[in-house]
This record gives sequence, structure tokens and C-alpha cells, in this order.
Amino acid sequence: MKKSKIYIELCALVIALIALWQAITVIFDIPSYYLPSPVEFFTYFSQFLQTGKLASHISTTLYEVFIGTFWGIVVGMVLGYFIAKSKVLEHLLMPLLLIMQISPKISIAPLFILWFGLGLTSKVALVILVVSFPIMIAESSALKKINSGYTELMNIWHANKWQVFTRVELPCACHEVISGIKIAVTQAITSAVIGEMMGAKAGLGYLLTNGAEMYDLNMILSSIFLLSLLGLFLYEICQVVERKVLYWK
Amino acid sequence: MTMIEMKNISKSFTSTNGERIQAIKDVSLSVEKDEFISIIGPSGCGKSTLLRILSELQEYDSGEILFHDENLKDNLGFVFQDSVLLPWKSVYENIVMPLKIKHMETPETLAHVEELLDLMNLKEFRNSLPKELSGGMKQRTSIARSLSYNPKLLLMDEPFGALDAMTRDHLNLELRRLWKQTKKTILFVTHDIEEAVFLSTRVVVLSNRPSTIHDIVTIDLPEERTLELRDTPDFINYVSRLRGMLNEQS
Ligand SMILES: Nc1ncnc2c1ncn2[C@@H]1O[C@H](COP(=O)(O)OP(=O)(O)OP(=O)(O)O)[C@@H](O)[C@H]1O
Ligand SMILES: [Mg+2]
Repeated sequence: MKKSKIYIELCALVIALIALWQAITVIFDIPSYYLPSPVEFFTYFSQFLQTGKLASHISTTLYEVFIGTFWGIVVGMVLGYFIAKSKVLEHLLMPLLLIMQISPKISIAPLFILWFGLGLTSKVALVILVVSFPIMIAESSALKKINSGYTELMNIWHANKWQVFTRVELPCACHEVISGIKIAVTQAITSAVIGEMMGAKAGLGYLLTNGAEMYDLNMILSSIFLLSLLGLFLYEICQVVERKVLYWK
Repeated sequence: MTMIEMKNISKSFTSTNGERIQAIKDVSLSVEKDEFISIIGPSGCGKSTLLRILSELQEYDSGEILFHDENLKDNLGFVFQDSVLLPWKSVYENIVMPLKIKHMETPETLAHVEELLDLMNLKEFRNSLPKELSGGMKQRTSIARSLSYNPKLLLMDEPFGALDAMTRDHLNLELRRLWKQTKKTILFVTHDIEEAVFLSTRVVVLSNRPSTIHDIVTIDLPEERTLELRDTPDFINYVSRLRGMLNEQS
């Protein structure tokens, strides 16, 4: 009930903004190479879609973001677990990981492109790097503050490490990890796009640089439009997963 | 028949500011089969520590513990003061959790779980989540969980400490009935002297730190115990005797 009301309000807002955009371009007679009107833009956009070229750019970026996020989560979970369990590993790994995180992604992107080439691998690697860190931090801090009663019970039942992880630690860490994923997915899109802008053969980021080089505002706007949609979509997936998983909160 | 023998168990902790705290010192106790032993003593004297040592949650410095039946050690039940139920599991799922972990889910054990649900009056709440339960129901679930794999030895650390008097009376009756029906050996830590007398065959009184066993009182009251028993002179005698001992300690 409340949710659908929010959606209606959101739609109204978007329609109002588009109307405003149209009005501005008409009233001030803005040339289309400077800012195309929504009508022009959406005509271009639908034609671009129909050629099928856009679809391949979309799927490239989607692939990078999804595969990268997936492996980023896996890597982050594994690292987070061991860092929470072993002080030695924490002291060894943390400085290294911190340095990799503090250095701006843009500075790492060219390195990855040299190492992994212009294809998908370099972007996936970049996304993994960006996604794994918040997940790792979220998981290790969640594991460290688990109610000791749970682990003691598991000890009394002689549970092995895997059982403790799947039955107690993972569910306990879920909340924090999902919050971490929410932060990570937006960064995942950003870093995939940065990677594509630095050097790629396809993708929405590639479209952005391409559009900029050719002064094609419609192309740039198409890319921005799709990237925002993608971000919104991923965030919504996180929300749905969160609600399904945390039913007991 | 002796089941567990503790010989001269000592344990000290080092606190964060470097002080050494001798929690228990030279505690020797033998536990007979089918006994209900309550352990009372001043706060912080090491009652929980003793149970934790027995269940191998805590190491000890010196002494010896003999289990005359190794099975006992590997298959003991532990009930904590707070129920530590997994909040994402329903009552039923919480109770069968140890069976899952021990790979003991058989038709017989699952039938036993049904009996426990009945015994603990949890039937209608089997699909409820812990957050939907009252304190007493949570504790009953926790007890049912510790019994699901039918341990012969049950360690209980102030299981009813956080409950109101009425619920407590009720659960005392249920626990006593359960102990008689299922033939278990129970070690029960409590702050409540009346509870200790009501439930036990023997009450162990620990002294102040460094705790040793101050005295062991055998409770010679009728087998069949109802709440009215608490108004009889014998019962009141035991209570005041134990209270006297505790007051000496503090
Ligand atoms: N992990 C620990 N580290 C340091 N000191 C501890 C630790 N566990 C217990 N102690 C100390 O050992 C002593 C005994 O603790 P214990 O919890 O066994 O007491 P207790 O008799 O159960 O007390 P209460 O009746 O309040 O529950 C206390 O003084 C406590 O401070
Ligand atoms: Mg205690």
C-alpha cells in the first residue's frame, strides 16, 4: 500500500522532470547539440535500441558488473572469514588491502588494462577489487561480534567449522554483509564504467567516451540513462534479497 | 553408581588489568547416576566456571575429571541462563538443530522431539519465531533443545534466573517431573535456595573466592514434590540451614 504510493509519487516526479526538460528546450530554444529535447532523445534512444548495437553494450557492462560482483562477494566472504579468525592473517593482509583500497580506482584501472587486456577480464578484476573490500570488512566485523553463546552451543554439540559457519556465522553476518553489498553494487558499476572509459571495445563506459569524442550528446545521455537504470535495478534486487533473508529481524 | 568424579579442580583467571583471580580451588565432587545436584554460592564464586569446565567450554589449571562413561561427555546437554535460540529458526527448527548437527535425525529421535514439544507445552508454538515467544517459552524451547538428543547428563546454569516467580514455579515442577520420567543426571546452578531444595537430591554450597566446597547437604524430602511441600517444616528447615551457610560466606 505505502510502497505503491511511493512508486506513484516517483513516476509523477520523473514525468514532471521530463516535462520541465521539454519546456526548457522549447522555451529557450536550446540547440540539440547542446541539449536535445526529451522527444529527440527518446526517438534517438529507441532507434539506437532497435539497431541492436546498444544491447551488446548493455550486456557487456551487465556481464562485467554481475560476474565481478559475484566473485567480489565470494572473495570478500572468504577473506573476511579468515581475517576474523586469525589475528596473524589480519595483520598481514589488512595493510596490503587497505593500500589497494585507498589508491583511487582510476589509478589502478590502467594497470589492470595492461595486465588483463582491453576485454572483459580487466573490468571484472576491477569490480572484484572494489566489491570484495566492503564485504570483507562487513563480514569480519560481524563475525567478531557474534554472541558467544551460539558458538559455545555449537561446541557442546561438537559441530565442525563448516557447520558453525553455515548455521550460525553466515546467518548472523547476513545483515552486515547485505548492507556491504548494497554499498558495493553502486561502486561496482562505477568501476566497471571507469575501466571501460580507460580502454575497452564495448560497454556503456566505452559509449560515454565515444560520445564525448564525437560530440554526440544523445549517445552520452543514453549511456547515463541506462547506467542509472542499472544502478536502480541492482539496488532493488538487494532490497528484495534483504527482505527475503532477514525475515526474522 | 558414580558417573563423574572431579578431583581437586582448580582454575584461576587473569583479568584484563593483570590481576590473578582464583575462581575455584580444590573442588572435589562425585556425581552419582540419576542425581539432581544443585550448586549454590555467593555471586562470582565460580559456579558457571565449574559447569563450563565440565562441558569442556573452559580449560582448568589442575586436577582431574573422570567420566566413568565416555558417552556422557560427548553427549551432554547445556542450558544457559539466556535461552540463546537462533532468531531465524522457528521453535521446532531450534529444537531439532542439535540432531541435524550430530546427524541424528531418525524417526525415533524425531518422535522424541514431538514428545518434548508436548511435555514442554510448546505444541501450538512450534512454528513461531523466538521473537514471538515470552521469556518462559523461550527457556522451555531451550530446555527442549538440550534434551532433543537425549543426553544422560544435563548441565543447567541458572536456567530460570530471568523468569518471574509464577513461571519459575511452573517450570520447576516440569523439570522435576522430566527428571523423574527420563532418568537423567542433572547439575543445576541457581541463586534461589528454595528452588535448589525443591528440585535436588543434594545441594552443593560453594564458599567465597577462592571457592571450595563449603558443604554438601542431602535433601531428604519425599520423592513426589508439589508446590505445597514448600510450606512444610522440613522444607523450611533445609532452606534456613542453607541460607545460614550462604550468609556466613558473604
Ligand atoms: N573469561 C574470564 N576471564 C576472566 N575472569 C573470569 C572469566 N570467567 C570468569 N571469570 C571470573 O571468575 C570468577 C567466577 O566466575 P563465574 O562466572 O564462574 O561466577 P558465578 O559463580 O557463576 O557467578 P554468578 O553467580 O554471578 O553467575 C568471577 O570472579 C569472574 O570474574
Ligand atoms: Mg554464573
